[in-house]
Amino acid sequence: MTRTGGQPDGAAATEAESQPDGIGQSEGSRPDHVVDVKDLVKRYKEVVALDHFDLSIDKGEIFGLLGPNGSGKTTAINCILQLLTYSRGEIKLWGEPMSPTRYDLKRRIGLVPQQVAVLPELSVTENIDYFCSLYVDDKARRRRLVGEAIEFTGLERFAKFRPKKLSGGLVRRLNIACGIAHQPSLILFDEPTVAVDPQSRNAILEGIRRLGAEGATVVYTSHYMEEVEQLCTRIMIMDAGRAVAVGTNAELKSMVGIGERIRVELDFPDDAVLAAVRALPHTQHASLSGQTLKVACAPGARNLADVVEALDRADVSYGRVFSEPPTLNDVFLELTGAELRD
Amino acid sequence: MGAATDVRRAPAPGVRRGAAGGGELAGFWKLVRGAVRQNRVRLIIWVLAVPGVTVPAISSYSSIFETRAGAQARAAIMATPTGSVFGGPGYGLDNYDIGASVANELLLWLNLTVALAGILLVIHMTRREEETGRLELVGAAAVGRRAPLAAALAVTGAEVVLIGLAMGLGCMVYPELDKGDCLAFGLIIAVTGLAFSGVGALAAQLASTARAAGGLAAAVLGVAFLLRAVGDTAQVQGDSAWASWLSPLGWANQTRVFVDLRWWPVLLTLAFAAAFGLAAWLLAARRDEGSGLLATRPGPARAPKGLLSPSGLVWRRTKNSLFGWGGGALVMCLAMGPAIGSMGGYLENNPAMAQMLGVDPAAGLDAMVEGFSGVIVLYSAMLVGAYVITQIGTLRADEFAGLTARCLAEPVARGRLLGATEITVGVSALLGMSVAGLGYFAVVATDSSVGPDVAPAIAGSVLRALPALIATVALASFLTAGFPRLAALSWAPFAYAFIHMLVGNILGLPDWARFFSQFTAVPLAPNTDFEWAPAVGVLAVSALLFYAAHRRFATRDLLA
Amino acid sequence: MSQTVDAIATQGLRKSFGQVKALDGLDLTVAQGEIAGFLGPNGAGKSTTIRLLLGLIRADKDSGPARVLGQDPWRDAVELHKRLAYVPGDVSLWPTLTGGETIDYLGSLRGGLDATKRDALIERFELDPTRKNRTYSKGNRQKVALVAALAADAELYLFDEPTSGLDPLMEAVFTGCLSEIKAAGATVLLSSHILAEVEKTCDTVTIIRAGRAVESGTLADMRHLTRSQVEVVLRGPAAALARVSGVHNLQVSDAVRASFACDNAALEAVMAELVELGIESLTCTPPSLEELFLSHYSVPAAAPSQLAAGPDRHGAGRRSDSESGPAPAQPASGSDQNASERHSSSGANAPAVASNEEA
Repeated sequence: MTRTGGQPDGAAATEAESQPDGIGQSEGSRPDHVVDVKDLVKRYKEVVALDHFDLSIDKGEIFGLLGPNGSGKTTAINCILQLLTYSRGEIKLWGEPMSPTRYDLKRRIGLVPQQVAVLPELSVTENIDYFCSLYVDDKARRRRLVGEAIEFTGLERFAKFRPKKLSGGLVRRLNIACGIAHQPSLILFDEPTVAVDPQSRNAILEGIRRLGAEGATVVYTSHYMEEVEQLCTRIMIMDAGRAVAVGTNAELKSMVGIGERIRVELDFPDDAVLAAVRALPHTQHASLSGQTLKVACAPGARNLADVVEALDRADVSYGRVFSEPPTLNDVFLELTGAELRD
Repeated sequence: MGAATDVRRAPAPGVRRGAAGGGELAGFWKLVRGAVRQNRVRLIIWVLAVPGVTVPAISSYSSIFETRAGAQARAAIMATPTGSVFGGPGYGLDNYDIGASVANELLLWLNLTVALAGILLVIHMTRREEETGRLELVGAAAVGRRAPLAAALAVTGAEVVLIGLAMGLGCMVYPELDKGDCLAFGLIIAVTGLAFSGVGALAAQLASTARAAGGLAAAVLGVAFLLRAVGDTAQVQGDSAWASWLSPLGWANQTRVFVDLRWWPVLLTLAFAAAFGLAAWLLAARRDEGSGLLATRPGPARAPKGLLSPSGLVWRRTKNSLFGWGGGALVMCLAMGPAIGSMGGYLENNPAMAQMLGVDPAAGLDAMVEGFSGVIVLYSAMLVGAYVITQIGTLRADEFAGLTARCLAEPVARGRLLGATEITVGVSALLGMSVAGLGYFAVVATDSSVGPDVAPAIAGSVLRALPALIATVALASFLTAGFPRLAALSWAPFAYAFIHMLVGNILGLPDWARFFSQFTAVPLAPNTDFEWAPAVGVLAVSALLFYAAHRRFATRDLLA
Repeated sequence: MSQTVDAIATQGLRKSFGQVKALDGLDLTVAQGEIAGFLGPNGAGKSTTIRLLLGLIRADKDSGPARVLGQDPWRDAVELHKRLAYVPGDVSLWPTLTGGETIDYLGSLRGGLDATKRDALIERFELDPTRKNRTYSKGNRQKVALVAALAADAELYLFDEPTSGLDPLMEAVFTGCLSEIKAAGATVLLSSHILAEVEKTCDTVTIIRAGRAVESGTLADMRHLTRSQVEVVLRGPAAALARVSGVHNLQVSDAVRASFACDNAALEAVMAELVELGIESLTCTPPSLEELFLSHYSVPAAAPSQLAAGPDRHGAGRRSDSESGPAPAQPASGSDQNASERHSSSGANAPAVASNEEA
């Protein structure tokens, strides 16, 4: 049974199947939906890349698309862009049906692909101008847009440089500039931070936040859970060509059994303390590895307090205490790992 | 960025021109501009280099045509099988002038060059764009689905036409050449280029990588060359046998430009170009981006025993190339069979020609065969040499890709990796050359019209070529392992040998000039005396190069 | 007591490429059995260091020594590599071979791989070994390289961005393999941009910048000198916490809600205080590696030769790109900067962390 949902009115993530009477789908596309994908099927010979895939994204969202390799994230994006043909399904953008010749719709979309796809023989400015020219005909307007894009991505000092003179982080920014120069309302980012150093990565994430703040709708594909957690307003987890779960960060985490994980570095291992902690009401699992007491708790506000009080009652001395809320990684592993093992 | 927000909420003015604003070719001119800018260096070099090298070379011909005897001697060479294979069917031989000579001797090579240019350009602008992901980025934009292919075809087409025109205009410099024919000459080259650009475009749709597409298109070019060669040698003096009519290269020759110009064969070439271009066009719509229509089959999960050593890997990667280049040499040698046969008949029927060649008809054939065998053996050696250089070149590609680094992280000495490549490529090259040579030997030995001494002499000739191959391995190894950035210099001796062969006599080069290339250092023709010294010298230089290659490779930093 | 040789030991290692100083006196020590993290911005010298340790390039004449498992990485390369395994970042493979053939071939260069181990790894990483290399995605190519290295029985593993392109499931598999390596007593040098990964798996961390080590020590040491962030809702007035030693930057709201940074050394005592006051709810989070070390990735405003990009958003520490083109040649002013920053696990860290938390 797969779970999907994510209503704009903030209801908790619910279960839905791929049946056509899933929640929200029978109502028809609303004007606020920027992207509306229904029942998309894409096959490569015997392999089903997208299996009755549904997706809806509202205006202004920073929508995270997560999934293991081969789950169909890039395929879905390419279908939306009409770069791939599909055997079944309906794709609507801003309420309009999408087709390869809907250039008016394409002009409102920007793509930042995973591979750095700039022209090596052209300078930074020339590159951005080239890609922008594919969307915008007016020269004067284009010049202004290119200038703004360079400023936005912080490439002013490198405007005349060729890509091969730029470091990895800078080339990625150029890639982004090329994708957004024409100021699209819908921007698709396909794993933009793979193998990028943390500094450039932060700059990129910050830039995406600004784009969102300025009114753009963003679709963000990545493997890096922490980024998606920080950045995205709503998240979909995909696996094997289908949506497995959709919701906000909080909603997804509530789908998972674990509330938080607590680690205590005891000064001496103590079995009595272990037993006491195990007896606590919210403890799902407790173990002692060396001097470290590890506890997994069900959701609850008093978890750490209970553990600390238990330690205090047992009069045990300890060093550091850590409490880690479940990460999106946990959600991902639980939802997809389990399915794959079946 | 307030203004920007407003733009995002509503489509930009003027955009809503309707769903099909521009149709399938929307953005065509922008893509053309982008492609030209992106490739400007390449485009300029081709247009300048081809006429730049060939047009001045024509001036060297004027010395030949000063006397009628000189002209006729040259015509006689064209009449030989070698002339047919590497030139054309040979027309206008009775009245051989510069024009005829340009047509017979240069047209084929120019066509090959421009065909190659077209193939490389169109594949670079289609398949390669896909592989880098640029096509995806472009496809997402307000650009028609077929606009990128159209732009690639347009730019390639314009380029080959430009090259042809430049050739044509360049030829007009010579007053001896009729202006109208010059233009025709240029146009024929252009159209042949178009034909093979079409082949390249189709190959790019069928194959799954740029490399495979290049191989496919090159194979088609090779077949076209072979068909024409076989057809042209089968019948000398004007009309070729039917095989030559299956090839665009043959059609180009059949226009008889500069001699007796007729236009209609060019129409065949145009139809060929249109057919291939159309096929590519139709296929483009069907194909999903990033894939090819010829699927890749799965392979074995475990490596076969033969792969489990550096030599094994080298062999696995190079054997197809060996079959290609070596096979080409073998086919060329075998194709000499019918050529020789017809040559004998030709001399018997044309005692005048035999007399012109200064020999009596009976002995004449032997002398002829021995004479051009040198060229055959040389070309075979060069084909196998090309195999050597391209395969030793994989060392360089591996290094830049970080594969050599990965292999050297294992307990394997650098010398072992290098040695495995040298030995595998070297031994296979020698074997390939021997097989081709054997083919030639068999063809000559079984031809009854040729005397019994010729075949053994040819065997000796093949053996004389082996040191040159060893030297090719040595030089390629030295450059690739020692100075990878200079690896392209391995081709220098090839270029030199070509120039030496084509115009060496005319330029009056001294005898020692032949030592600049391993292919010309040792005289290969069976009817020349074998000299030990140059052969030993070539081997000695090879030994030095091998030593230097290993030393350098063992002590330098790896580049990636 | 037997003397165990360090797995990796370099002292004052120098390497230049023409005018560019890639390594400028690098000291790196990795003890046997340790999983050592290796961090640094692009162009800092991480790849150069690894290539040097693998004998692919040679240190400068005036360089200090480098020893890998007690041997000279350049001279004894072939011998040494029997005991090493390597996973490069951004893997390239021979296009016409299948994944399985590639693994077997690389294994053959070291005399063969343990077939059961190899097969088990292929299954764990969910790799299809019958597909040709050119049909693999980046992640799959990475898996081929991982299997080829992990199936070897090495004493020292060198990983350069080993999980780039892998999804979290496969990353978890990799982390599992790391534990197994550690349990077997082998050593790992892990160079990575993914701080979370380093934090989870490494015992020690070395940060390299402009060819030198600027920070090195165990995570525990570094954390110990820093603080955890505590959020608590008490049953009594939270203002009382102001007087507890080890509590910093106390912020109280609603009289009972408090948020503060707590010295890790004082955590137990503070917790005891909280228990006395009565805890309604409590969360306590350690500083992340990102917070600790991100300061090392940014370039100080003073150095004029370093190019900055983009407006400064956060005030503390400029985010900028310290690299442009080849490995940056650090002029004199740059290395002075490094000298003042170069310390290993000293108290100077604490204020830096605190200021980030205050921001």
